[in-house]
Amino acid sequence: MTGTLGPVGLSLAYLRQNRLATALNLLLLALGVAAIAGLALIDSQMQGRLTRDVAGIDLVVGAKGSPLQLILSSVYQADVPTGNVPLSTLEDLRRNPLVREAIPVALGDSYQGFRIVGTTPDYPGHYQATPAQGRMFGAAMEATVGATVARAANLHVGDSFAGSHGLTPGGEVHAHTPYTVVGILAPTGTVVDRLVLTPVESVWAVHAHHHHHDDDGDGDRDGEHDEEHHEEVAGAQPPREVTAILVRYASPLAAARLPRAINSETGAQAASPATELVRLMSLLGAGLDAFRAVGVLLVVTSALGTFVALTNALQQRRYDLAVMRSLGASRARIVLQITVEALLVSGGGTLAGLLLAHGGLALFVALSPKARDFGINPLMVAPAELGLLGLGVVVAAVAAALPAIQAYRTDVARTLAQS
Amino acid sequence: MSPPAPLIHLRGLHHRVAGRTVLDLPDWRVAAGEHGLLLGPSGSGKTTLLQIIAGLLSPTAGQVMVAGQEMTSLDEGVRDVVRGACIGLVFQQLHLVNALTLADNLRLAQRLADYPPDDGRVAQLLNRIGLGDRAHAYPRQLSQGERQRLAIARAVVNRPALVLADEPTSALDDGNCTRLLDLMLEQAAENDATLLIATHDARLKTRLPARLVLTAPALGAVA
Repeated sequence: MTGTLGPVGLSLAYLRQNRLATALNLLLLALGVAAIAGLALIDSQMQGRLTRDVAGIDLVVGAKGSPLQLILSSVYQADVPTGNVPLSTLEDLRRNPLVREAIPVALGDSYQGFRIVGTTPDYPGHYQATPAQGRMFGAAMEATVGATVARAANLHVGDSFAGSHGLTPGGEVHAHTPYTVVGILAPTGTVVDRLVLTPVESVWAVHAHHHHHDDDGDGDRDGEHDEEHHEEVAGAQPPREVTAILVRYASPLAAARLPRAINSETGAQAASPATELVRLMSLLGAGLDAFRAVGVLLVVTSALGTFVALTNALQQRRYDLAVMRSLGASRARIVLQITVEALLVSGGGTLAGLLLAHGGLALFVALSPKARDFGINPLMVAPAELGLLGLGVVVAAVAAALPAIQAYRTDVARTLAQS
Repeated sequence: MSPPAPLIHLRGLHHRVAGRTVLDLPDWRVAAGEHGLLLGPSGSGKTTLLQIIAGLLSPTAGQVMVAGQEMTSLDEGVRDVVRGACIGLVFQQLHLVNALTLADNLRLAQRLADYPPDDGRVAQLLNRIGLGDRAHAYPRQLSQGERQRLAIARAVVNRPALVLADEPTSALDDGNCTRLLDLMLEQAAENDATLLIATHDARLKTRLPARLVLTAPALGAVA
């Protein structure tokens, strides 16, 4: 197999001879493979991220509404909340022997587009987020910010900032109740990176001072400030509420009892992140499937192109293959020669495609901070890539089969006598 | 003491293609170290006969003995090995490998015949044919005469007992023709090889004793 004149060396000599055709052929295959590999990479990393964010959370309790919306808003910090539940719901859950841990999440405000989450230190603890600088929040109006927030908003320990109402930028600024940054979290590759964490009491304090009282709950749909609901209620404390409660079960028994109990006996709803994640993936799945179909089409097209190119190249080579026979090469050597050449082209094209996919992803991450924040790692390898390598081998086998059979059957004498 | 076994011995050779007789030859021998000429107009079956002797083609009937081996009874795989080891071929269309350098064209012949690589031999042959300084050139960069010489070098690189050449001189002018024939005879002598040249080139008749003349309806006569 080795040396300049072994099957590999000889194949390389022929591929060099047809540089342009070889390069185009490799490019065609590489593009198809890159498309489908890039898709697989994003798909698997997105699933990984979604799964990481939800890991260890058995149940989410919040206001009634869409369970998917509850999970999206309180676990992924992506959608608007379904509303709030009274603090007593949290206290009841904490007393419940079926519950090992109940972490409150109070939403409503944001800073430069990053959500301010009122919670307890258990929340960053759940994501193994520890302060890289400073410390974890303790008292009200103290804030510990995620790594991405600190970088994007240029926040340092000791800085103070005011949150703005609503979950998107542009809301009214709560200038009279500023937060003080007491810590900056190390990056975790989870949702925490993009959050400002503070005690639940801060969220209450901001809205008490603000005398803000939303009849439709604190989760303002689009960050608009509902002026018509803005009332001065002298002496009235805003209701002590939280947006959602992240629950870990104490025993498997809880899975059977707790959701049903909450859904039927309280005004709150309980949603299972695992169930909703499956539902979410099946919703996204349709779109991903369409992309995948395009990718498969590309790969099939380029596989066909490789097949045509190899068949053509080997057709032109029938004299040379006959000469090799006349020089003493066996039929098996000829078949090996053709197979090796097909493998080199399809293997090379597939490898180039995988490199292209990772390179493209690296470029994408470099150009789009969102992608980096989302935790896309261009160096991570998706299991599907191994499948693509396998596909390359199959393409090679199919592309080599026809010319190999032709070469095997070639009438050497007749071919050599032709001109 | 019996006479030495002939290098080539054809017995009752008969070949038909699509029901038409293309070869029907009397017994014919070429002793080792002798050279032979196959004469006849084009279409008289010279190429076919060379291919049968080389074991590339099986005759319809008859026997071909080459260096004591009965080619016609050997398995194809064994014939490939015997051909690689004992027979050098010069084709009418040369069939050099254009993707490989001149040196690699010669090395390929060594390798495919399972001979160990011998770069000294390659260099010596390239020098002999006046292409020593162009070992890394490609066949397409050569003149017709140079390509012809390279084809001969490839045929003799493994020092075969038998060199079969098909119209090696028909495309050459008189000067090149003479030089080429000199080269072939010299290499044959150096390697104790027997030359068998199929040609209709009258210029060769003066240099080699004609042995077998194929006539138009493909019937041979010993001359």
